[in-house]
Amino acid sequence: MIKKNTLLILIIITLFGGFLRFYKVDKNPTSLTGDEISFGYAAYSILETGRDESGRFLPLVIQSIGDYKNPLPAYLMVLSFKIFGVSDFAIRFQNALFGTLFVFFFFFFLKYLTGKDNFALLGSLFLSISPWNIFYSRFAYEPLIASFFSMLGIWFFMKMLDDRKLRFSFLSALFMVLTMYTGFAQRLFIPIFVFAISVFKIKELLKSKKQTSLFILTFLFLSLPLVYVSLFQGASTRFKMVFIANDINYVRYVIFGYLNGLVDYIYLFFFWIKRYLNYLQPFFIFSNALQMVLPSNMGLGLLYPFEALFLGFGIFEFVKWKNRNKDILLIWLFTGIIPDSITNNEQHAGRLLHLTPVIFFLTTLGAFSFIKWVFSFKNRLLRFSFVFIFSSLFILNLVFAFLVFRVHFPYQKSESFDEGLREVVYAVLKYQDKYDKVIFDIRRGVDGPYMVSNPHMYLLFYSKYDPERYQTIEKIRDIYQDEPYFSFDKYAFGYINWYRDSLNKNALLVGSPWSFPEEKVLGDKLLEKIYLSNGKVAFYIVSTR
Amino acid sequence: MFLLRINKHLSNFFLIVVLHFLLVYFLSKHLSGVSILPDKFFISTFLGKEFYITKTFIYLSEFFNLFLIFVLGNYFFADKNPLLPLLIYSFSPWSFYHTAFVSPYIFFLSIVLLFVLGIILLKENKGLSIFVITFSLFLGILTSLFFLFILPLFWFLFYLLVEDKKLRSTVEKFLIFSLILVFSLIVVTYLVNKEAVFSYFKNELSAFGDPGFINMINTYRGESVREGFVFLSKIVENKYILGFEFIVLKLLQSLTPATFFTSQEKMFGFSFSPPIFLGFLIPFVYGLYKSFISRNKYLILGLVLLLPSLMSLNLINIDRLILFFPVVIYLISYGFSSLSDSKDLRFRFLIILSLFILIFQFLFTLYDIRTKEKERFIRYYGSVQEVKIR
Repeated sequence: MIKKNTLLILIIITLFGGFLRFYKVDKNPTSLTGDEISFGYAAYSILETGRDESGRFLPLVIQSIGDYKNPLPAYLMVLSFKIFGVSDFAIRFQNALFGTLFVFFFFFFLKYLTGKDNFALLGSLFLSISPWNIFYSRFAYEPLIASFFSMLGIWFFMKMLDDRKLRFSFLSALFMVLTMYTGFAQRLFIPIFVFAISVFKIKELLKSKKQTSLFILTFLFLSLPLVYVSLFQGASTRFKMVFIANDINYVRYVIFGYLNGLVDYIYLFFFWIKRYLNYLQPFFIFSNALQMVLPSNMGLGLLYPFEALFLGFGIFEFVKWKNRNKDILLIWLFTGIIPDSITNNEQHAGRLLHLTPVIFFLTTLGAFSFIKWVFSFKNRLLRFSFVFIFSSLFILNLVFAFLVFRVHFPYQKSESFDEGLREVVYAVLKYQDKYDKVIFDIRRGVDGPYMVSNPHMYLLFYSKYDPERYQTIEKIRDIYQDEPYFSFDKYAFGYINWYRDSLNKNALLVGSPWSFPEEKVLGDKLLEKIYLSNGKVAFYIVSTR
Repeated sequence: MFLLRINKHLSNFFLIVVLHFLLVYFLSKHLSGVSILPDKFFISTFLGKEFYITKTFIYLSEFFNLFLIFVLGNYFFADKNPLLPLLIYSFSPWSFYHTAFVSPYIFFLSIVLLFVLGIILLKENKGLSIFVITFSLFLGILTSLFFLFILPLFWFLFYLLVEDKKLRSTVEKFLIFSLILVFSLIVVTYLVNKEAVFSYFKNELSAFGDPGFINMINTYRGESVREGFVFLSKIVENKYILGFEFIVLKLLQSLTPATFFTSQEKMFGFSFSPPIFLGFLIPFVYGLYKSFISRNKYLILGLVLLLPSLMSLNLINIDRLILFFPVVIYLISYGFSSLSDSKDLRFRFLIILSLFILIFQFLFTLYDIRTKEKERFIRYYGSVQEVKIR
């Protein structure tokens, strides 16, 4: 049972959390990412035709550019489109919603673990203002939704062992499998977690045979389609692409691109250990995990810097904490790092989202113990000093987080979020009727054309290109041997070569300033310039006429 | 007196020393062709005469380090595993890499160990203790500027932590003397060669004038002002608030397991060997936990030894961090001893697991040194093959 006052406070915390997640969600991040736009058009295509853009009927895996996407986020987006219409907001709605629900349900999860309302409220408050959770709630990023499901799955698993009710076995397996249908890192995490739990909790599991059997059967039955698509429909492609053995540091600096024999596989083990332990780096946890600013700058991490003390206290308290679910939390924490640590790039905060409940549990545990400690001081001045210093730190951290979200993120990272492509499409739609051909350069970048984007997905989505037509229309790929090329209808996407493409008599060219001669040379041919939030020019729209 | 106890294990000590220098020889042999740019001591700066660090000098310092760790091991772990700290030190890549590379930090480590020995002797032999402390203070300040900060600070913190009234008054008197010594050395140094001292300060304390850090603040301020958040930016995005946060994070970063037990911070910029073998991680964590439980306040003193690394421009300066090695050795040894004391089967399993990983990684490191370390070195330094340690 939950008291009225507690419920009221929880609702206020959740609403506040919701505000932080929903407020101008379609404007910040400034643009839909390549992944969001892929999901968006796939969902639009399914909504209109029941098929994704490659023509597969109600697919269990969504074929995208260079990889395969999880099905559940796309289907959730279909619902969102149905309610709000096809828009940037509708694409991001589901993440903001799950981020908010996370805050609400986290209270009940903590209450289940500790039985304390105050503790659970404090934990929910921390989660509601968490930059980690807010950031990933503000754009379509499937691991956030997967993490929500994984929390429910593991919570019901605890209930299954504690209460021995069959419905918890079913619910636990259901949410764990839903997790696997939603996020890639979590698809790996769940089996590892289940395996580790089976080893460490074997006695308890054998005691409740019925519940365990139902859990296993439900889990296996529901995950069978996933096994099928992983084996036969390329859903494992992404895993092969990102496996740690392909890591550039490992290949170039550890093994030098060759292995002498089986013994050299040991390098991979030690390299992995290094990656694994890297997750405990304070700069990652408290300063730059979210990569919302340039890599050399201090930004936001998984937790606020003021929470460092809480986390430290929390770990210490956790060792002393006595609870039958303690080992489940411990296994959750240690196995939770594995999926991301075996990938071929540096630590990624998004792929650790399923650890949110454990990390915030530890932080709250530490905060509780810290508060108790401070209020145990008999000296009033000392107590006041601690409270004053800590409150100041708390406020300063929140103000800095606000500035990062509101100012520095759009200024420093908008290009990484493909800002400008939406405006490019609107400009193209304005001019295209007068031209026979529209050519997009896929390379972009203010400092140099080092980034590659997928303008065709933005064109499909923002022009609401008829999905049925797109599924059946003839598409031409790679006509040049040394450069990528893709075209359909009157649109072509590849590298713009000014000396070659300007010979087209009636074409519209779209690319970064690097694709064209100087502005003076272009003269009247330059129809429009598209700018980034930081005022720099991202794209030129140029006519060849 | 605990110094007399070392007789019991002298033969084992020499055996470990021989094995340690064999490791140094093995590494030097496989990285042959790699030469070290000899470093100058701080004393050169104001005497106008260049005192270079030589190979023989570093080898002697390393022998001295081994001996001091052996002695300190006998003090801290006399009843259980007096040789454990020595074993950890001598078989850790951190020590044999630095010795093979003729790193001045081997000598600086001798000073730190000598200083610690001096403090420990304070209770047993005041005269000897005062001599040892004064000698290490003097030697430290003459050879490297950062000792100017860390040794007096170490000394002062020790004074604050001491509870025994008699000991406290001795420390008090002696602290004044050592502060006078340090102060007069600063004055003399400054008077003799002002410019050199400034340039030395600039090099050693580079963390505080990092142009990247200043640039970050200016960028933040510019962006916030453009968006109309002048006041908020002023109170949060300034060098004091962000600088404090940066230093605290840097301090915490220096204490993470990845720094000590993996090659996250590559030794000499190229090595794949970790400073300390991974097998020691479990006893380290357990030792840390037990020290917290037992509220071992003297561990705070160890934090002073992180200062040289904190002062550097790099996030972590793994060369300078070697001065913190004795604290890590203490924690590992304490963890090992506590684990072996326990009758719990799980703890026994942890010891076996640790030993297995240790032996496995030790053998693998030898294999790696033989096959790939030189290639890494050449890729990192190119054809120069000379290392300058900072």
